[in-house]
Amino acid sequence: MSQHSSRSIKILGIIATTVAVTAFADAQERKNFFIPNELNMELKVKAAYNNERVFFRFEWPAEQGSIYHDYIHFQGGKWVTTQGSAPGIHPQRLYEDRVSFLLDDGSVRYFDTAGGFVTVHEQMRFLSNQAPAEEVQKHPYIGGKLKQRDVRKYVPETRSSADWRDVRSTEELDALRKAGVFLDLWMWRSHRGGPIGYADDQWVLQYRNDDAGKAAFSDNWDAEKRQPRVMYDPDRVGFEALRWDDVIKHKLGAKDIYYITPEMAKPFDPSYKWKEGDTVPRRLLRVPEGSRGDIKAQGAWQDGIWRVDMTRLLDTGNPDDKALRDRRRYTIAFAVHKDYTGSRWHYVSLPLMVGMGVEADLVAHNFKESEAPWESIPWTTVNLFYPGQVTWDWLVSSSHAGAADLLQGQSCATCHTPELLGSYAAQHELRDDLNRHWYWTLASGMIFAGGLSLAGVLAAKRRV
Amino acid sequence: MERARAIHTIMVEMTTGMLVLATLATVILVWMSLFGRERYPRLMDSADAVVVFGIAIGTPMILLSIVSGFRQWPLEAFLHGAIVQNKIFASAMALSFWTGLLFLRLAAGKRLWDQRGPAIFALILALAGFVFLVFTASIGGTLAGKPSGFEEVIRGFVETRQTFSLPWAGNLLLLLTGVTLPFIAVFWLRRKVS
Repeated sequence: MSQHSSRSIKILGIIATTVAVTAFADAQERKNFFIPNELNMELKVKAAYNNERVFFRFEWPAEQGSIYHDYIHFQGGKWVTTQGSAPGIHPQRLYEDRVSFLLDDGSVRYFDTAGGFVTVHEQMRFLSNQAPAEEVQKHPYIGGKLKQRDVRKYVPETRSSADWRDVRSTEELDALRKAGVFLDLWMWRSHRGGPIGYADDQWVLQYRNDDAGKAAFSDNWDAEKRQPRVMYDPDRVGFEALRWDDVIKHKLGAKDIYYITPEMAKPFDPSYKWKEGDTVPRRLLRVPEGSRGDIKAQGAWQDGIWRVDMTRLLDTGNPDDKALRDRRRYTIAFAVHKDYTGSRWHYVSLPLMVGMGVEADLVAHNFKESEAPWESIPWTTVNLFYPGQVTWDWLVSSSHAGAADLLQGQSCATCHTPELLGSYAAQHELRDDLNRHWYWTLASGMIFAGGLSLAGVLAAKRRV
Repeated sequence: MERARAIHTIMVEMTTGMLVLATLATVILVWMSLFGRERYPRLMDSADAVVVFGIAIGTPMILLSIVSGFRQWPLEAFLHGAIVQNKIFASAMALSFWTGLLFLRLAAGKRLWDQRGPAIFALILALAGFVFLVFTASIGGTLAGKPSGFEEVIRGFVETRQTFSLPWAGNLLLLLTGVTLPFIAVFWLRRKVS
């Protein structure tokens, strides 16, 4: 074998080994990784207000409107719960659809330019680098005082650094809340609250907090006894339980009983002869109380379209809500969960200005009657995109070319369109793999060009 | 940052000017090489001088443009931006092809244009370098917030807003071709000479 040939074989061996190693690295499993097929969607919005209340109407396409969420079913002689939030599409397709928005009056810095991204931080729940539950539980504030197991939305003002652990003191947090440095979060859920006419009311400061009062749902799972707390009352609804087959195959519609309320329920009877496949909802719906029950809502899915109405007092008087006033502008950022996804697998908007009777991206029309004159109010179409795992900490880091502009008050929209942001977010999630491929393509492209040129030079030297 | 942008812009303008001239001169030279040079004997010498001047200045200018481009943002930003990665790729390819032409001309001298084969090969290198230069400039316009209409044409072939990379098979093919082509050239010529 010639010297040239053995050398070529060696080079080929090195290349083949490198490719094999890199290909293996590609196949490694990522944590909390799922990218939806659709990266963008449209949400249509209308807004109106009278002297007392503000009204929002939403419409968005959803091939299958999901109204199912969290069930307990009798399987193999014992009660089991369906999985809660899961990365990407829920494995049993039992996850409710949602529409939500964050609202601010200009108090939270950068919310008007970056929207909900200001609430997303490294190691948050369902990111690939999610903080371990044990570590969060050991944290004196998040685990100790709030009794939480994961890191959720917070505004940057509540931390002394880019690290979720560096929570400011309770006094400082109180001062921020009193100064209005928090985001009001309205969330309509098709199961947890939707069927009884309520949306959830929360607020984001140092965590995604619940408003004071009682939620529109409670947990029907008795973890100690490992059984439901309540069951259907046959005297009121005609049966003790739903059929698992009806739930898992989505045979129940909006007009059927697929949820449970105290009016439908009685205490769980373990002595009843439960059959395989008997099912009860895990969420007991109830009329919310206090500030948590401020937002009334109605939603219906028909012919591939969700239509949801939400309304609340302009000023609830509650310290965990943002009051809305005539002739003022506010910043709003929308989100939609659909296709059986929860947590971060939603579509979000860039921030919009909503004007209470004044010119803005979304104008809330003033009217005198008690019902909003929806027919006379035009839709505002908002482009939503999949936000991936882009965090505020990343956006203001040296890895983001626009970090300096963002910190100087420029909007994301200055450089990006929502249509492209979904693609960028997906690429951000795949960045390590994309970079690996890119390096290889760059190197192989240059080697090809170099080899071609060298061959030409060698040939030309001999010929001319 | 503004200063870095200004310097980069100047570098890019000079690079583009030099290499557009070199491309035009190469086309003229190859045209004359193929279809006769008798009518314009002095044009041949002038065009060759333009090629040498254009690539001798323009090729190092690509490198300087790349360096000045890197000074605009932190290095990490280049590894997280699809558009800028595509720009780096296109400029690296342009640099490779123009460097190839530079060495080809240096190795062969003026006689490069005397024979059809080497002359056409020189034209291929020049056109490849020119096309990648156009890609680079077009992507640069997008990055500067002033995309040209040409960007839409490019996107008909390659989505410049997504990191461009080839599948493993494509990379391997390019690598192997790049590595083996010089050997093939040597063996082929040896056989021909013997």
